Amino acid sequence: MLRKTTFLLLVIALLAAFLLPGCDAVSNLPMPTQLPFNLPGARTPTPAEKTLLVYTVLSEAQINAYKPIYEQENPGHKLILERASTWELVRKMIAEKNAPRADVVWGLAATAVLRLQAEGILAPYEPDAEGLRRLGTVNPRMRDRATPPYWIGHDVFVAALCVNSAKMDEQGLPYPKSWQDLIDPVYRNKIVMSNPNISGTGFMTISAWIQQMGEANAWKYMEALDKNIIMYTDSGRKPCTLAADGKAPIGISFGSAANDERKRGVAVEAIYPEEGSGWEVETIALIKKDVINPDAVKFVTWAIGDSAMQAYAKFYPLTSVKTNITTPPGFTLDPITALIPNRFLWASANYDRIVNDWTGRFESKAESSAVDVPEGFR
Amino acid sequence: MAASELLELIRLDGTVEFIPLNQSKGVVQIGRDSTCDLVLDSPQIAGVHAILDYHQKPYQLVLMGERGDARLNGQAIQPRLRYELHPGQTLEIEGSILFLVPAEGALETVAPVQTETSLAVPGGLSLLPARPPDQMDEMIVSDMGERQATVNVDQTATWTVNVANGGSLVAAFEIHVEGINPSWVTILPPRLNLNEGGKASATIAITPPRHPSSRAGSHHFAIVITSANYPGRRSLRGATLVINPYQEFTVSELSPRQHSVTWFKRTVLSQLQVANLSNSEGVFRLEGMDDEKALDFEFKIPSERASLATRAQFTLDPEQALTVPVRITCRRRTFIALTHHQHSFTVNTSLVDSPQPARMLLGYVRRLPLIGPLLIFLLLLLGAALTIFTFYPRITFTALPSTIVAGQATRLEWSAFPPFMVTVTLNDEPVPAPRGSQNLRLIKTTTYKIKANTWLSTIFPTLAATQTHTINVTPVRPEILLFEANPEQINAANQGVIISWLVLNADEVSLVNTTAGKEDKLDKPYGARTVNLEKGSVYVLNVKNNSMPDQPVQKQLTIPLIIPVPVIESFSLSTETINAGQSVTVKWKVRNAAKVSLEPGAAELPASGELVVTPKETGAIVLTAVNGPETVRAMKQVTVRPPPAAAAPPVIDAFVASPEKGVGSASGKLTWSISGPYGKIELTDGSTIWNNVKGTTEYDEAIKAKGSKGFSVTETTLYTLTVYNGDQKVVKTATVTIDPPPDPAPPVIENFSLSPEAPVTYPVTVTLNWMINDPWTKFELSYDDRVFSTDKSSPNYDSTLKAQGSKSIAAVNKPTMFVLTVWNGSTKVVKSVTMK
Repeated sequence: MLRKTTFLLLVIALLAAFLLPGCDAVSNLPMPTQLPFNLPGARTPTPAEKTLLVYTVLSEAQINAYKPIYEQENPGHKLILERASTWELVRKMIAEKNAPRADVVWGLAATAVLRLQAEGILAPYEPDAEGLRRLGTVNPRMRDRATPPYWIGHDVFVAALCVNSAKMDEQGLPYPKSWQDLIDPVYRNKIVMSNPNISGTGFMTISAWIQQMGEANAWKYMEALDKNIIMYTDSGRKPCTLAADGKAPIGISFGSAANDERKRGVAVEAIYPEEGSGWEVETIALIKKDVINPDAVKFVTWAIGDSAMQAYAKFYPLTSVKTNITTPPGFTLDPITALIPNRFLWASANYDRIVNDWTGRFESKAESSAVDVPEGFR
Repeated sequence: MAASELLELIRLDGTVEFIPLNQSKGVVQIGRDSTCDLVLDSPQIAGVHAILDYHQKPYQLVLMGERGDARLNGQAIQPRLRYELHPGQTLEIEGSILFLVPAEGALETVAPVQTETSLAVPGGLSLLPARPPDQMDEMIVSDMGERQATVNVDQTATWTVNVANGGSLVAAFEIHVEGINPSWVTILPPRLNLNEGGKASATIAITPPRHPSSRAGSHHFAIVITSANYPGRRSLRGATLVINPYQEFTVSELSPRQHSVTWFKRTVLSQLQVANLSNSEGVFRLEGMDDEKALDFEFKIPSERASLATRAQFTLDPEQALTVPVRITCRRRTFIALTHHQHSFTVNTSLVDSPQPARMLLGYVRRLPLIGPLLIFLLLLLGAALTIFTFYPRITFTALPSTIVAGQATRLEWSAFPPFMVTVTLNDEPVPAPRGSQNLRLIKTTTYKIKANTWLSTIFPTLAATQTHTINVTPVRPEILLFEANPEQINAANQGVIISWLVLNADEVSLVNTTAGKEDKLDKPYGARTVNLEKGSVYVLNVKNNSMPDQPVQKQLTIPLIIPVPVIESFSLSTETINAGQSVTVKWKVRNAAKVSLEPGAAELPASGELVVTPKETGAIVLTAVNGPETVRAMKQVTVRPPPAAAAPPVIDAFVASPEKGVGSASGKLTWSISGPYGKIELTDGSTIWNNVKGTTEYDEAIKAKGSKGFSVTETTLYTLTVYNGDQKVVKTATVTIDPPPDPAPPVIENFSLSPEAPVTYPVTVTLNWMINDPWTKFELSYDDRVFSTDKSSPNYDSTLKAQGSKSIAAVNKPTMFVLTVWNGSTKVVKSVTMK
């Protein structure tokens, strides 16, 4: 009996030695197609998780208008938007270059997005057939000329003066018609503009002055203008908001900001100076990651589609795909005629030099420095 | 003729069958086929393996099957040869034993033959049940003494017979013996010739041989005397020979003598043949034994229905032989051993109650282990195979995508087997786990070799698992989007130029001044820098992507130094004739000049402007415009009349500010009036200078002999007006005094009350009422830690608060003081009411 048991145990042991490694080998075989992504910055979308992290410089009003459309048209998809000013966002993305968090950057000015492209932070947009079709409808002058493109513009925003009519009348100030008018001492401490070191609108504005007037004259102009400036705000929209709030009669901002304030019922007028205005293209781009989330590509496809363009057109008169929406009310003249020939490449290359120079001259009135910023303007 | 014979079949499992040989058929087919007369089931046995022909005797056996073991009486037989099979012989085919059983009574015994005419039987076996009675004859007279003799075999018994010729003739008498084997008998003399009445004697000697046919017991016979001379007559005398018994037997060798038992087949079959060579019946005893008491013996005796264990007993007639199958069962089994165990045993055959010694046959049983050397070898082989299977390293290795653009991410994944005791290296660098992944950004086509090693492959390196993947990388060509200089050329040495660049797909960017032989590494793919060029220069922007390091993209930028010839566009004097001491205003406009000078006048002048000069004597005023090596001059003649008198200093008739005072700030105008000769007029507020010298940065067209200039100041400012005439100058000042704005009037709180002032119970809703007279800038209503404010920038802003208003506050549960604070600018008034 004992021998029989011993024999059985030996047979079982032999079978186990034979079979168990085999079972183990089978269970350990890797799946050939499903790749887990566990590196920092790499996220694997699952059917249950359809969220995208989007960096943006769009205003809250724009986000509140665009986001619901996307989420309604794409059930189960959710956008997580992180806002920042243009150049703050550029610096942040360069810092995150080796471990990018976001999937898409949305609304960034072309001048800024060119920097990201040069830094190798962006990924090419390689869409499906529908995306290619939509890409074909985009104005070729408002997108990266490479194929596939690294960024696509969706609308244009134009520098303009936000003038609070009530305050102007109250203080008996003449309405400025040109940039040169703004250096008149009559506007001493009457003007607010944005800090080009932080704000895309701010840099767009001074970049245009330098392109229009030449370096030396532009700096002289800015020196003279500085005497009339109350504060350089961190946001490009804020000068218009301050003007609308009556804290400054004039804000150097952009046209649609004035339009937005008018929607609030404030008597703010957008004035496009007669020398011409700087302008920028708002863009959308994919952020280069180890694995590009397919939903990010679909989101970009949505962002250059008809419904998105219709939404953009309610804020901006010029979109990269034509819409049937007329110029939004509040624009006192056709903004297109006010555009200067803007050199984005030059502006992007010279940003550091220009803002360093600007900071050395005017930093004391910057909102962020808080040296000469008057009470009630922060 | 023998009766029908039998074939006894002892199968491997020990079962015994008897197959009668049907004489009508004459042939027995032996084989695996079911149609055979004798079916043996073994893979080595052919369908018809052997044929036994018993038409003739001895029987003929032909082996048809080519394979398997076949033995006749222990001797191997060959196929297709004819062999004789005799009764008692054994045929062994693949362990099954066939034994030809002789028919009953067919044993090789000698039976006496009895004929009607003779009592003699050639075999010598007595057929006479009793001694024959004497027969007397008167012609042939005989007589004999003792009639019975007892002898052992090979001993001789003698009888004497006396014969007398009772006839009348001389006659010859023949003497012979009937009823007993004639070969045993010797008659001396066998013939007697006797005369009439003659007598003679003859001796009869009978010697039974030592042969079983010499059966023990009484053999009756007759001595018969005949004579040809007396036909039909004979004389017969009966006698008896008693043969004493003797005992003798033979035992054949065990067949087979040596066996092998296994774990599963512990029983083997052997056989032995016992032959009784006695002249009488013998009782035989068989007994099997082994020293180790490890074997069981069973004997199959034909007369017994069951097999008999250990010992058996049977009876054999003289000359009878019996083949006894012996089934030997080994009690023990060996599970595992390197060698077999051999048991020796003996089968003793003895004749009961006989002095004949027992015969001991020696046999062997080899006990084979279940796991013997071969199986152990096979198990070791299996173990080795399992070990190799387990520790033979294998690896799965993927690289996706396998074709990328330089800088694009790709992912390596590997999984090695076994998941333990394995070392994995990726390009000879160990990786931490047998299963893992790695994300890569490559710049050139790279082959990755992953290798899995176990201790087995360390011993046998060829067993190491190796897989390689080549990731094809498409190089990326850098692109220079912007490389420009502003201005595009320089017109003078040391002129500043801004060089801007923006490139894509760049890992290294450098800016080379080929003229100066200087290269600067640029830390960013975009940027701008200002360079001061002493001469025309050529810059090259080198952009390199690490995926194609040998093919940098370059762009050249030529910044020429172009020195234009100065051009004097205008050069004029306010007058060509002056009195001594008077001045002349010189105006000029020059382009493309790095240096402009006026002699007499100034060595450094702007490109255009006007200058008041006072020549002392008649001469030329020379305007010189220089641009590098190029020099252009223009000349104007001035006639100076002798001075009538000394030059008078300029006179500032008036210089006033209006208004001269302001509160907080002031805006107004400075006005002045100058008389007499003058040259340069300069106005300053301490920080900014305005003058009347064209071409200078301070030039202001409002500065002239009689003029005015607006001002807007927020602090007290001193304005200074300086007027020059040659070396004479006059200075006058005007001050705009700014007084600080007076404190605003304190606001007035007309009313601030509450209701109810003293509630009966708590909590209670309180209504506050107030009225504030203008002016006021803001006010706050507070109690406990709650504040309501009219200040929009305040987090406590409450849009319902008006100068005259009320506010209800619910759930006040204790006596509370309510405070109303009203500001007018920096002045404030506070009033409070308390609910008791």
